[in-house]
Amino acid sequence: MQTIGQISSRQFTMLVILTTVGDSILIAPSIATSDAKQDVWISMCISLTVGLAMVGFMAMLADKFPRQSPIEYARTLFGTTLGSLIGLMLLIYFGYEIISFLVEIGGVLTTQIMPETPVAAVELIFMAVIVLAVRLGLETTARTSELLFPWFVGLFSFLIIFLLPDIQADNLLPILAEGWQPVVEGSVFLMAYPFAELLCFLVIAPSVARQGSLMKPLLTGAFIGGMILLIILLMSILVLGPTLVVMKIFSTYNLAQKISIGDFLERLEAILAFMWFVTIFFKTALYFYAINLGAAQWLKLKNYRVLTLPFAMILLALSRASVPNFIYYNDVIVRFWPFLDFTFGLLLPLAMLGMYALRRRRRSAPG
Amino acid sequence: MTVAAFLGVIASAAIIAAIELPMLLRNRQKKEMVVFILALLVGTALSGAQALRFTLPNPLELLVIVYTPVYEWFKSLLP
Repeated sequence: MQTIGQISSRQFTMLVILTTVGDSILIAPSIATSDAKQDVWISMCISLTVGLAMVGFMAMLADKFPRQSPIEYARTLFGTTLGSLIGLMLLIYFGYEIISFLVEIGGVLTTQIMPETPVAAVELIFMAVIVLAVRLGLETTARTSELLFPWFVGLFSFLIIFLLPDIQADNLLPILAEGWQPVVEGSVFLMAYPFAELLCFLVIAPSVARQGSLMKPLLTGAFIGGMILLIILLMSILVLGPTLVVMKIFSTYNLAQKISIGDFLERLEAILAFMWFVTIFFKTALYFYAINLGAAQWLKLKNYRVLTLPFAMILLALSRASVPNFIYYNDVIVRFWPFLDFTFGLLLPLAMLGMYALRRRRRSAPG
Repeated sequence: MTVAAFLGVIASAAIIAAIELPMLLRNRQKKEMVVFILALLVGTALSGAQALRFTLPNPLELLVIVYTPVYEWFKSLLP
């Protein structure tokens, strides 16, 4: 099958970290906090534990088929017809993810930074960069992640350090005032958006130059990404307080606006915007790889690059058709998106692992 | 305005075809060419309809239809 280049497992880990933080850094805090209130950091701890298990299943699956993508081994596992159907559903899921990222980047830019620019223009330019990245190949994207990752970490630390003076520890109290149920409900979102959406790495996995298992890079990446999200959530609660976090759709953005150093260094939210562009860029780029490469594998094409430009056109049109307004989108991602994520990020890998074990046993059984 | 947007869509489709087709013709990749042209036609149709302000079917509605039973079931589990 075609190659999209080789990346090292260090680059792979960086991509996993950036993808875990992904769009969740801006979208998830408000949604999770509306359930869990000031206990949202406990939700994140739960999600981190469960999320790492989910990522572990993905890594097990990637290790079983080191040279193939899920689109290909779905056919091996479930037979040609059912396997093709599952592959197609997977591609549609990737499409949905990309549509959601486009809607989010359009929503954030036009509500927070450039209110007079048409959403379509923002999405078009963002998609153009994604297409460019994907056409240049995975190696280029991975090297870009190496270049931008130190900046991401540096700016993140900068943001956190300068928020420290604004901390009000009372905001964390009372702990578990309404019992565990809201906390668990909040953790559902924090499992789905960062961790279940790491599924695209199953398509990337065959291009990692590796010795042995992918378990370690995937888990390390997901853990570090999860810790970054945990710190962001804690800071949101400590600085803004739960009420404000719930009220603002992009509460992390308002968190960054809080930074004020001696009435001199102000409006540092552009830093957060930059971090967010970096993370959502890599997440979208990897999903765009996944859909193009997956479609090429599904149709047994020799070259995935021909698909990039037409697919970009289709996805842009569909993303515009998806969203009459951002409130509608927010409602959909709150009520239905976690189920979509769990269907593909948890159930599908489990079903594939189960099928693999079943086939293995049948083959080794005598007769 | 809408006409200009529509013409823009047609122009971008033409540019995309100009970028990809020569390579595909030279390599005689028939299957790739068919898939590419089909995908480009779908993309042009969707974007063109969008530019002319037709209401396209909303893909998120499909998601809502599929997952509403799951959501209701999940809600019934919670106290």
